Amino acid sequence: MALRFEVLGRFNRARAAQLTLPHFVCQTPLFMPVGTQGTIKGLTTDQLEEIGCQIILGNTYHLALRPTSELIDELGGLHKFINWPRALLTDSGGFQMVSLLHLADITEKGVTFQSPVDGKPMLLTPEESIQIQNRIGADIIMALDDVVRTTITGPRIEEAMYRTLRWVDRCIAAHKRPHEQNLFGIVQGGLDPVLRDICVRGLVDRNLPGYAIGGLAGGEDKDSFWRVVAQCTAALPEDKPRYVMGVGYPLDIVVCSALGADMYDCVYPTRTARFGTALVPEGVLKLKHNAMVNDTRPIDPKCACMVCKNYTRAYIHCLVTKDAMGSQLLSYHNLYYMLQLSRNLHSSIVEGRFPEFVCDFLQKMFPKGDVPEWVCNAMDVAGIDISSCCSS
Amino acid sequence: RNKTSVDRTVKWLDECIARSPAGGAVFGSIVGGSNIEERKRCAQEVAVRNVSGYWIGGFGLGESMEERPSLLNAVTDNLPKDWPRMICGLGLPEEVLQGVAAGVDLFDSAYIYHLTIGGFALTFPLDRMEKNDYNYQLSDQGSDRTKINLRATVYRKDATPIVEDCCCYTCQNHTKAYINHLLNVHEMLAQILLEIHNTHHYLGFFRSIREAIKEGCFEQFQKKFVQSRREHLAADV
Repeated sequence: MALRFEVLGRFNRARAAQLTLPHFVCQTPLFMPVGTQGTIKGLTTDQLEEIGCQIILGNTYHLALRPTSELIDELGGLHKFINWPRALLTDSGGFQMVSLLHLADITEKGVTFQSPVDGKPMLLTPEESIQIQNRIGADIIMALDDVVRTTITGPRIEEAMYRTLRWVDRCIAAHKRPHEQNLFGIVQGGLDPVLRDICVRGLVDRNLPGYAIGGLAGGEDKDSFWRVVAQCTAALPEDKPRYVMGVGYPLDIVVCSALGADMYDCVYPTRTARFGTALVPEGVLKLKHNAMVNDTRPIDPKCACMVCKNYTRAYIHCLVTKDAMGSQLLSYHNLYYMLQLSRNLHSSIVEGRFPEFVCDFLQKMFPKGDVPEWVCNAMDVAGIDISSCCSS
Repeated sequence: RNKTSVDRTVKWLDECIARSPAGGAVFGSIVGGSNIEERKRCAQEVAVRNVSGYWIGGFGLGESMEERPSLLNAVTDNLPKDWPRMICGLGLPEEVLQGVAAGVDLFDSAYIYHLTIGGFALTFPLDRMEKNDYNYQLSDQGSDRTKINLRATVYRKDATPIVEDCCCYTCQNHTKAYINHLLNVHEMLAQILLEIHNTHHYLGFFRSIREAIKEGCFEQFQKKFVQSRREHLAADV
């Protein structure tokens, strides 16, 4: 175990904590930008520090292909390679199974990919995934899980859940640096509460430094989504971090935090930036829209980021999709927005005003009071009264 | 054709001046192609107009290094000394030096942009050429010691910065190995880092020029610079 997790404040299920990792002391709830290939598209590590980024995600599958984990190891680990002094988390490569399924074959041994770089077959076993992650050197590493889309039904889900537990044991055995890197287990089980329960208990028995809730954020309906999160957060230990993988939209993060989750990652903020969309309290702002041509306001007049302090919507409108700087500026703003959201979640819980924060957030996003039903249901379970923001 | 171009350009200049708002700074264009007489004539015509500076066009489009100085001089010899002279299309350091020698003040080119897009980083030494032996980083990939191509596999594990004592953001924070990786995986950050370094390095070159002029040894500076690059090209052959 190479981390410390100390809860500093609570509101019902929601908690604000200090997560001490080998490279950085973090505050949760927190959002982690995704730097798949060893870079957050278009931003320097300086800028990431500037906006308050605490942990970045790197992807084992991509980095193992290029530049290879051996090279990263030889040059002193990923932190040194990309010059990022704060914390890093690497995914196991498992998610690629789902997203690149037409190239993958899953067996008890592991996952065979066809390398997209040179077509050679690549076998990713739990042992191999951990070895690669050991070489990369991130503060948090993820166990290789057998992840199945939530839109799939049938015995495959049960098979995947049990296999995930068997693979976690192989990951634990293969892990050579438990005092420098924290191995998180991932809860699978699809949308079936019975399977999820078995998986949670199995993982908790292994006494890991932290736990992730996986297999979500893949197209399931929101009602099922929040219920799985709620069930898992209720069953996972209080004194360890809980990471909901692949989440996501600001609204989802607020709901999951209310239900007791601590960590999130998603490509959404940076990906949507490259399509010209900015994140704002009201939802989104599409900079490509003609209405932006003459709009000399910043993206968000209340935002304190470098982009909102220096550039107008009109200017960004010109750049977007025509020049790389358009996506850089929007990525910068969008990440700032997500990190500011993280900071607000943390401080509002610590300062005892979490319900007020949630209501304010919902009011801005749904000024007409049309808060989606799934949010209302989730907040009910979380014990947060949002009746003031709902028109019904 | 050159004559027509010059006539037209001067005529248009008069029209621009007539239309330009009071207090606006208009730069007069000097054209004339590769014809020394036309260049001279154009310069003389524009020199008597009411302009705030001179934009010298049509260079960097195929004239040779040998014929350029006389063409440049034909222009600058006929321009008043009190107003700035700007030129477009001269990007290579040797070309810039030719422009400076002829009395040009401002340079505009896409040289840096093309370097960056191609994955190149400038590495030619900026120190003042007083020493005879240069601290070149040994790169034996057929580079011309003025720049390196970060895509080359030789840099895969090179944990040193592009230029050892460069104080630009890129050299202070990142290694050639990282930039090589970024280029391989087609990440935006590669161009950002290269552009920062190349711009910084190129501007440093201009600073050296200014210092050399102030110290009265520009001619020497130009000679040594050109000579050293030729020597290394010859040595590589």
